[in-house]
Amino acid sequence: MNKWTNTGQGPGLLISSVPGPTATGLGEPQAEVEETLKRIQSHKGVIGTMVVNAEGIPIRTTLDNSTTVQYAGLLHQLTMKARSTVRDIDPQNDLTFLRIRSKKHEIMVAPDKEYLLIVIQNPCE
Amino acid sequence: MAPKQKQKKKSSRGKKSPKPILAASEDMEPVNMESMGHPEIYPLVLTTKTQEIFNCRIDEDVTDEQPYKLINKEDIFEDLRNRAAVSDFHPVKKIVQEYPGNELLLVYDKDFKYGLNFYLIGTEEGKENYLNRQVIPVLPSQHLQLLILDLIYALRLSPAAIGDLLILRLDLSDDAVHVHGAAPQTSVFCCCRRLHLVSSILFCCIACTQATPEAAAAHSGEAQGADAGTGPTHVGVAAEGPGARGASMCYLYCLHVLQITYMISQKRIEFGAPVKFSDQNASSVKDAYIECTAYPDKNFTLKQLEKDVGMQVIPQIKDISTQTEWTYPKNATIQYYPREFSEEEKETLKQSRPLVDFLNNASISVEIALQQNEIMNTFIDDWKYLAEEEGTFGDKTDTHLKEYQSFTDLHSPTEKMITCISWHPTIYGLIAVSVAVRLSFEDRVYFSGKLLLQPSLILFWSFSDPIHPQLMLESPDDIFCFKFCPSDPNIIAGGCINGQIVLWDITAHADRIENIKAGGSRSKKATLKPMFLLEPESNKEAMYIRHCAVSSIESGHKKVITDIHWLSDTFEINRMGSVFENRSGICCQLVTCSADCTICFWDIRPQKPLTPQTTEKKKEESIEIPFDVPSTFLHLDLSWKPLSKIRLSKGETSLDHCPTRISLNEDHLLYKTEDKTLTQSKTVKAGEMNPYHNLESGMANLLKPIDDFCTKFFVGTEDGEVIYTDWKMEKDPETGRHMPKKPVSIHTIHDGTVHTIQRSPFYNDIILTVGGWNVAIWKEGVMTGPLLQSCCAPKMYTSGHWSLTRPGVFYIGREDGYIDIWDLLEKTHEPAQSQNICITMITYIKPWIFSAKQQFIAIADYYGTLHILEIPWTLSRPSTNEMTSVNYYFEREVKHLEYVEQRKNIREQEKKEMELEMEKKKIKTYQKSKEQMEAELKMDYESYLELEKTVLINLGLLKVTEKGSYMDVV
Repeated sequence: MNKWTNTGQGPGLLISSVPGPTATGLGEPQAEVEETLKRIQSHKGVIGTMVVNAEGIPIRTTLDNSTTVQYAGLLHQLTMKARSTVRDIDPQNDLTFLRIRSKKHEIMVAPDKEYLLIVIQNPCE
Repeated sequence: MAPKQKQKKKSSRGKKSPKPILAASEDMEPVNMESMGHPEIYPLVLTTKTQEIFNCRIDEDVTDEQPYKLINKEDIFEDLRNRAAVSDFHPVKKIVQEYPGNELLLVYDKDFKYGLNFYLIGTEEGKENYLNRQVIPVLPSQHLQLLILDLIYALRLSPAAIGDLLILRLDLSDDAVHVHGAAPQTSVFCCCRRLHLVSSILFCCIACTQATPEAAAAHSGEAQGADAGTGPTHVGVAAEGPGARGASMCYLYCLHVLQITYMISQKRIEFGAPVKFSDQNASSVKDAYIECTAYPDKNFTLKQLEKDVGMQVIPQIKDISTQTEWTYPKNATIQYYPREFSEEEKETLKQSRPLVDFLNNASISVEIALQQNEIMNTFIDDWKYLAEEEGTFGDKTDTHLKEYQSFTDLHSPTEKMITCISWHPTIYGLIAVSVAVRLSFEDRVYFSGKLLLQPSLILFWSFSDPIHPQLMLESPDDIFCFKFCPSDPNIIAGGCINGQIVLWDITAHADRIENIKAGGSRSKKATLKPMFLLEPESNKEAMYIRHCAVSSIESGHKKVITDIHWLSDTFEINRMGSVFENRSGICCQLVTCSADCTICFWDIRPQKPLTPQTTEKKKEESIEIPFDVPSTFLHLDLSWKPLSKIRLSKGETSLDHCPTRISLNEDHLLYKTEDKTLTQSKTVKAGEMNPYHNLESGMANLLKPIDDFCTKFFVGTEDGEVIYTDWKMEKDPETGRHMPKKPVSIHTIHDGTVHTIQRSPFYNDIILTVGGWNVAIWKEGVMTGPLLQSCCAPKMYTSGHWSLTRPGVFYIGREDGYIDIWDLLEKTHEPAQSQNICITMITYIKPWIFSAKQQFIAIADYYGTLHILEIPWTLSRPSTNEMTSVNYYFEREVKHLEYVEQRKNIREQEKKEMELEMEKKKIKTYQKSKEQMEAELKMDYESYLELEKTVLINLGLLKVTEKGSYMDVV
């Protein structure tokens, strides 16, 4: 993040060349996203990773389309419910992470204001 | 009015009749106004002289108000005499002469309506009419109506009575009101107009009317007197008719300004009385009946030829509203299509900064969680694993099969062996066993006559009765294999020693075998009681069931049928072996293999292209068939021909492979259908309507072919070969005939007849084969060799079966009565354990899952005893990862096989290379030149010399000085 801000908002760059920062601005976050996801995916037993927006619409996934849509829709609802539960109990509190352990998998949901990161892992492997 | 008119007409006629006579005597014919509708009017011209004579001077004697004058007949005659022809009345002399009355009415015709200044009315009626009519036209208004109503009220007349009982005669000369008449109330009312002045007068009148009749009569004379008088206001009431008659008549005259003639006539006793209506005979009373005969009205006979009709199309609109029950509002949405971003949107989102920030934040926590899972499984159930370990290290005693029950057919006179076992798919504790005479082929031929006398049977044993078989299925000859139909357990197909296929339908006895369960308690008693006590009762129960159908002797197998299978209900095959979908949803095809080197496919449905001959035959047979045989497969009996026949040729020789066992791809599915609930539901279905009772011919309609179906299957032969081949025929390019394909692979692994080829119930592609003295496990698709091949056992193996619950376990029966239990997880080179069951050869093994905790294995021996043993917990319960670990073992073996194959190739290559090198070397030695040979020889000689020297030095035969020379030499 720091790196991005440094390069993107560097005054020298802005002044010196206009296409420069746009090129890096387009290319770098993309690469960073891919890199992060790749890193997560490379963990042992990870079955799939997906990024979903606040409305439950998938943005990036490593699974097939139908599975992604199903996971995204259901987990989005569950996360919203979990978040509202946490907030109802204490309005100053918020949900930061959701782990669902099932017989076969563990589903991890990292929620944010605008996005959800969903990772499915097979822990027994 | 009508009668008056009639009278008028009569009078006119009466006038006319004398007319011609008069016309003859006098030329003058008075001109009347018949042309204008008034025959009684005779226009006249009256000169002023005549007017003076008759006192009818215009504007003096006759005015607009009083336009008429009554003239005495005598006066006219006098005038006629005085003035003769000059008299103005001369033209109407005749009329005057014939006039019946005394006074003639002369009317001043001011408007010259009839052409002259005066006219004379020639008849008495005309005179009266004129005088009356004169007042009618202008009638006063509603006051008269009020008057009448008042009157009616005063007289207490009921309104209904008004019409016929009231006759009013009102003369209102001033306002020219003259109501008279006939007076149904309509005319009265329409005439009644303004008359409020009269009301007070009328009250007087009414007062009089209400007086006694005598009083009324006293006034009458006065009233009559007043008739002619011209008193200013004179009211008179005349009551006519005495009270004795009960009728009264009132005359009321109002003179002065107006004249009212009022006549009310009613029976006195009926005054104010309610009206009574009654029936009367129409013929008895005159004029009571008026006939209106129907006649065609020409006005309506006109035919309408043309009609103008206007039409305008108007949309029909209907307002309809209903009120439904309203429960509560509910927001419901259905999203049937997931929302997704397009690629561009995704790209832009991926490049957005918030996403990157988010991922950087979120990935940390996710990765922590992932790592935690990698390090340790937090949710591991230690207790479960603990129990598991305990089980695996359990008592050895627990691993033994425990004898549960045994069955022996005590009734059969000859010694028999069990050839095949099958558990009933649905009914608990029911097992079917086929028995055959224990004889060699030669003996069998020798005793054939004797054998015919005793039935060949399949016995149904139940756990509840260890002595008596529940059912006995009769067959033409000894059965060597049989199977329950997977879709209907009441259908059984068996293969005979003589090559015939036998079909039974025990639907009729299904209740009987199902109800044995209830007799469970009885069996305990039965074991306690001496056997002979039970005998008569149970003899009754023993049932012989005849077969439904046997296959044709000519076109079936020639030798003993060694294996029979039902094809799955998911597909069916045709003559060419092509696979089609099975629409009937029931198993209706069979496959058999026989010692006559053929494999046959059979269809139990009637074949369509039947020649008439065979149908006739069938009819004849149907008569012969006894009534107790169900007609399910009647169409097949003795005419059943195989659908297709496969011969496994060895190729170069004329001999064929002799199959003993076959295993199709679908076999494992049949095990799955043995799942209790499934089959039970199926039997229920069968109970509702047995599909086997109305089988339709297959292949009749076009069926959808299943293209990607594996038509390959395993065959075990008499010679111990395991053949993997295809049942699909292929067209021989030379002859055009359909020939079976060449086998994919043939392996001779077993050193004796293969009697078991079985797919694992867990892995579709793993096949166990048992034959001779060894066991082999194969994987379909890996055809280089068996995954596992046991070494030769000391005793011959005679049967085998996979465990139904443990993937790595199978049971092998031996000829010495032992059961070898193999556990691939424990040992793969020898059986995990052996257990003695009986003293003779084990002929068949069949395990059965009764419940999750109880499993049985049926073991049949050569002496005809069926042993039911309970499988211990350790052998029935799979360990947690047994499935995967066994699979892993098989995979490893496959890899090993591949490696061996590769090594073989490598070795062969190496060998070839070695040989090549050797050859090269040899060639090289031959190529060496003579010089080289000499040099080599020289070298050899020099080395020899060296050796000699060293030996000599060692022996001390040579001196040291010579050492140096030796060194020089070196």
